[in-house]
Amino acid sequence: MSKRPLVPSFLQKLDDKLLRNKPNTWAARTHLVIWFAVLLGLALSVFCYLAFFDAKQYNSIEGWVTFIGLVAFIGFVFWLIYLLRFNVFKRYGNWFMWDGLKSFALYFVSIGAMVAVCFIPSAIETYRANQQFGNEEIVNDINEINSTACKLEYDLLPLEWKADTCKVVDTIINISDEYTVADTVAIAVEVAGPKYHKIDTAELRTKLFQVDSVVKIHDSLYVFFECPQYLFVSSGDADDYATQKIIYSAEFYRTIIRNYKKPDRPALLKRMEELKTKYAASSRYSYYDEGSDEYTNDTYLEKIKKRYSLKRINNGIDNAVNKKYSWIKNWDSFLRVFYYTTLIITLLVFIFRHTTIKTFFLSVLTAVILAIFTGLMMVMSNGDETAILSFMIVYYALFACIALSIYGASIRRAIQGIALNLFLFMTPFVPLIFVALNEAMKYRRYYEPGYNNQVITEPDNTALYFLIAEIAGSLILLILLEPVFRKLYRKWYAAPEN
Amino acid sequence: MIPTVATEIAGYLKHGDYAVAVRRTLDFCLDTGDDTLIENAISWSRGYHENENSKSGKAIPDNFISEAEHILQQATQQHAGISYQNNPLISAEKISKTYSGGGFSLKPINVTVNTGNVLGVVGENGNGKTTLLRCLAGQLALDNGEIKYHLLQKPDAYAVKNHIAFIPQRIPKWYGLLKDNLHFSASIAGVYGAKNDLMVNFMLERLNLSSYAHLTWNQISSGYRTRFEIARILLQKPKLLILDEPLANLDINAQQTILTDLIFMAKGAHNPMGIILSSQQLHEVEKVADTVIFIKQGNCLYSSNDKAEKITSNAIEFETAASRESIIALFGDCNVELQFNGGFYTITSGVLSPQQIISTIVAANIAVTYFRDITYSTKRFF
Repeated sequence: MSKRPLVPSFLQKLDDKLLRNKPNTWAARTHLVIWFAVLLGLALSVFCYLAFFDAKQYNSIEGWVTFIGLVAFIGFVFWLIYLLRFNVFKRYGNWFMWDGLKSFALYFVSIGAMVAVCFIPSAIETYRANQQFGNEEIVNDINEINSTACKLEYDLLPLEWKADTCKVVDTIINISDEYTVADTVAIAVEVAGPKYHKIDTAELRTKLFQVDSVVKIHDSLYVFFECPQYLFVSSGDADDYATQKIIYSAEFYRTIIRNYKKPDRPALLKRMEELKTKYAASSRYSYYDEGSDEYTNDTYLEKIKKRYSLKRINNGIDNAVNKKYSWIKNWDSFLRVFYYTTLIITLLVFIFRHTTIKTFFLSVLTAVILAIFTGLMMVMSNGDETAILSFMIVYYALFACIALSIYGASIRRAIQGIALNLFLFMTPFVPLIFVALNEAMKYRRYYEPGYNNQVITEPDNTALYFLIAEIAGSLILLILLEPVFRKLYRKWYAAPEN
Repeated sequence: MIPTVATEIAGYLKHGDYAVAVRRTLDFCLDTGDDTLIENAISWSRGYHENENSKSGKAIPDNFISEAEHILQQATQQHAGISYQNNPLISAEKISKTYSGGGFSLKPINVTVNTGNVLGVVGENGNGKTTLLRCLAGQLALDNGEIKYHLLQKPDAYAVKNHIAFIPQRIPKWYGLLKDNLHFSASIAGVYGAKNDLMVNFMLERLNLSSYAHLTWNQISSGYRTRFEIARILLQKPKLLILDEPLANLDINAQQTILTDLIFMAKGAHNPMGIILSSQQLHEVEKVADTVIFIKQGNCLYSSNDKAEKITSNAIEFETAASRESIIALFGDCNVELQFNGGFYTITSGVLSPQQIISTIVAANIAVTYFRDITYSTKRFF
C-alpha cells in the first residue's frame, strides 16, 4: 500500500483493513472521500470565515458556489478514477445480500460529501452574519434609524394622511361602476371627496388588516386612512425571527410626529453617523439593490435618504438580514438541491458500476432522443404539462416491462440493459410524476367552462403531496434496489453475449 | 504417494535445482493448510529469491538446505491423507456457435474436463479456439448443445462466472498498485484478514513476483503482466481456469515454468481445478495437457482421447543437412513418406516405429540436429 499524501496513519490502516476484509467498501473509497471533504471543508471554512468578515457587504455567493463546485467536480473526477479501478460486481466476486444497497449508500455518502462542500461558503456567511449582528439588534437599529431621521427632518415630512372611502358589497359585478357619488356620507366627503368605490368582503378583510386607520360609517361604508411614509430604512425579513418588531409609519406618527419635540440635534447626528458606519455597505451592490445615493429625485423621502446615506445603510441591512436568515428561510430548498444533486449523480454512478460502458452511454442517448421526441410531439400537438407527464409514465412502464423480461432471458441484449438503466433511474421520480400529473389535471379542470363560479373547498395540500411523493420515491428505490434491480443487473450483466 | 513429493523435492535440492525445489515446497506446504508452515515456507523462499537477486555470488543463502529439510519434514507430517479428488468439472456436449455478423461457425464439439486435468486446444489462428473457450467460459451464447458445470447446482450466469476464471489473450490493464489488485482479488473471493495477506504473499513468492509487487501495470513487461494475471486469478480460487494463448508473451523458460506451475497447482489439494488452455506452442501444450484437441475451421479434427482409433501411422520430424535423396535411399522399400516443410523433414510410416526410423538415420551416420516423435502430436495436422 503506497503512502497517500495528507492521509493520516489511522486512515491508511483503515484502508488496508478494508482492502483485506471489505472489498466493496474499500472500492467505494468513501472513507477517503469523507476525509478529503473534511479537509477541504475545514480549509474552505477558515478561508470563508476570514473572507466574509463584514456581513453588511455584498458577497457574490453564486461565484463562490461555482468555484467550489468546480473544485468538488475535480474531486469527483478523481474519485471516479479510483472508483472505476475496482469493481466486485464486474469481477464476479462473492455475492452478498445487501451489497447493492450498501454500495448505493456508500456512493450517496461520497457524492453527498462532495456536494455538501459547495454549501460551506453560504453556511459560513450565515454564521458570520449572525455573529456580527443579533436578531434584536438589527430591528432596534432599524427603528432607531427611522425615528432619528423623523426627528432630524421633521420639517420635511408630510403630515396629511390619505383617505379612501369604500362601500362594501357582496360581489363586484360591474367593474365600471367603481366610483359613485355618495352625498349621504358627510364625513367621508369631508375627508376623501364625494366619491367612494366598491369592494367586496374579501378585500375589506385585507384592507382592515393593512391600513393604518379606519372609520366605519356604517356596516357597508368605511373610510380607510393611510399614514405618509416615514420608513426610510427597512428590511422585510428583519423582524421575522426577533421579538422586537419594525415600527411602521403610523406608529412613528403617533409617537414622534403628532407630539413633536425639538431634539438634541448634535447628539442625534452623532448617533446617525455611528449607525451609518455600522450598516452602510461600501459596495453599490446588494441582494436587494436600492441603487446609489447619487441619482435621486426631489421627494422628501429621497432627500432624507440622500442626506444620511440611508440607501447604503438599507443595502447593508438587507445584506446582513439576507445572510442571517438565508438558511432558516431556505433550508428546504437547500436540502432539495443537495438531495437531488446527490441522488441523480449517485444513480448515474450506480448504473455505471452495474452496466457495460456501451450500454450506459446508449441509455443516455436513448434518454436524450426520447426527450427530443417528446418535445416534438408536444409542439406538434399543442400538448400541455399533463401530456408530457403522461408520456413519462408510459416510458417508465415500457422500460419496466422490458427490464423485467431479463428474468426470462438467456443472453445479454443491449436493449434490456438500456431499459433496466432507465427503469432504475426513473423509479425515485415516479411518485413525483404521478403527483405532478394529478395536480396538473386539477389545475386544468379549474379552467374548464363552468368551473369559475365553483367554490374551492378542499384545502391546498399540494406541497404535502409532493413531499410525500419525494419520500415515497426514495423509499421505493431503496426497497427495490436489492431484490429487483441488483438481481436484474446480476442476471443481465453475467449473461452470455450473442 | 506423499513421501514421493518430499523425495522429489529432496532430489531437486540434492542436484541443485533450487528454483524448482522452492516452488514445489511452497505448493507442498500450501496443501497442508497450516498457516504457520506456509509463512515459514514463504520466508524461506523469500530468502532464496533475495539471495538470487542480490548477485552475492552464493548460489543459496546460509542454512537454506537445513531450513528446507525442516520445512519438508513438518509438511510431510501434516500432509498425510491430503490429496485432490478427480471429479468431473465441466462437460460440453455438441456445443456449436455461429456468429450472426460473419460466416464463421464453430461446429458441434464435445469437451470434458475433470478436476486436476488440463485440456489443450490447438489450431491455427482464426479457426475457433477463442470462440470455444469463450463458450465454455459462459461469455458467448450457444446456438446448440449444452454445458454442464458439475460442481454447481442450477447455476445462473453470475455463479458460472464466479466459478470459472478466463484469462484472455489481451489482458485488460490493471490500475493502481499490483499488490493492491492481488489483495482485492483474494478479498472478493472470500479470503479475508491475515489469510488474505498470507495468500497474496504466497502467490507472489510462488510465481516469483515479490520484487515487482509495489510497481504498477505500466512498469512491468508483458511477460510479467501474464504472470500477475495468473496470480490474481489463482487468488480468486476458480474451479476452472481457462487461458487463451497464455504463452504468447512469455520467453521459453517462462513458458515451461508457467505451464508446470499451473499443472502443479491444478493438482494441488489447496484448490484443485481444471485447466483449459489454447496455444500455438504445440509441444509445450502437449507435454502438460491430459487431452489435446485440434480445431480447424471450426471443426474438431482430432482429440488425443481417441488417438488409438485415428492414428494409423507413425511419424517423426527431424532436422538435418542431408539431402532428401540420401534420406529416401536409407528406407528403400519400407514404404515411408518424406515431406519437407522448409525447416524440418517429416517421415511417416505405417510399418516402422519411431525408434526404428531414427535408428536407421543415426545408423547411416547422418547428422541430426533435432528430432521429435510426432505420432500422437497435433503437429501432424498443421
